[in-house]
Amino acid sequence: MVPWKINRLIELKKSLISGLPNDVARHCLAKVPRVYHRSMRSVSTTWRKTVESEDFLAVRRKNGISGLVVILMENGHNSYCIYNLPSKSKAPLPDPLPTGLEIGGAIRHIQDRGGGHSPRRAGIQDELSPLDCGEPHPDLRFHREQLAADCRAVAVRYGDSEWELRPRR
Amino acid sequence: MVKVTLKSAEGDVFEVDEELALESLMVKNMIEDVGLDSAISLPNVSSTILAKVIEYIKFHMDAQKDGSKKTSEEIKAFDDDFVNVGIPTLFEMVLASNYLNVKSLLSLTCNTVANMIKTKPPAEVKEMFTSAKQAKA
Repeated sequence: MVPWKINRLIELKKSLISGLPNDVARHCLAKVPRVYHRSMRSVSTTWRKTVESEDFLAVRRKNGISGLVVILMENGHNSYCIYNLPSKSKAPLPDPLPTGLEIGGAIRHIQDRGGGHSPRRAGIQDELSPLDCGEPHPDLRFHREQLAADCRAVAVRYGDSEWELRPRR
Repeated sequence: MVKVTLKSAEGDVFEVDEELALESLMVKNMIEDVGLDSAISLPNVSSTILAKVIEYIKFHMDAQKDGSKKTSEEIKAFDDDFVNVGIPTLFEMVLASNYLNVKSLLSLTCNTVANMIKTKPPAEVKEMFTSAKQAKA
């Protein structure tokens, strides 16, 4: 066997985090927001395989970690909407509101329209996809330009972590 | 108030309120199985860590009580301070909360590990979490 193959086998047998059993370590890794997964993949082969595995996605889903709520602020309409991606439903107002967000005007909920892809909903999905998605939505057509014109900021929360406000432009 | 006796790995005895002990689902199950008469032995948890876990549960129970004057900032400050420890201690707390099945503490400690992963470059993460050196520390 060539040396790099042996190295690889050794690495595969290693624990994810030394000092923690793999199931607990996986739980910790699963709590890292998806936006950091790319850099996690380069930590080691074991980490890459874990992050890419179906199992890992299942852990994230089971713990509601991929369950984030997004608030989209719009310039023109002075309103914002709340959308719960994994449950595909409108979400209650977060309490407390993430710092930096103020209620300016009317609050509009975005409803799941099943098969109907309203541009606005698609826009949110698009905004989400680089940040965190429970599962990909390949069937959605994106309207990035349209969203970019309206959106001022997106607030994201992963599981029970703190709100992160991501300003746009 | 009914008391529960917990025995750490070193054999040290901790007497706590039943209400507090029940926060650990593992201890709760043990109480249901063997009753309150004998001490509950926790061979996987050291005295230092057990004391920390008890401190954590106690603080949060007090904070949730009616009439508690603790603000969410104070609770957050307590949590931040609580996990502001070295990696070996943090891991011991992860293991203990997993073993004792204290969901809130497991969540807090795992989030802390996740935060370390996300704030450090991959090379540093590798050094911190996967090197053999760390395991011995």
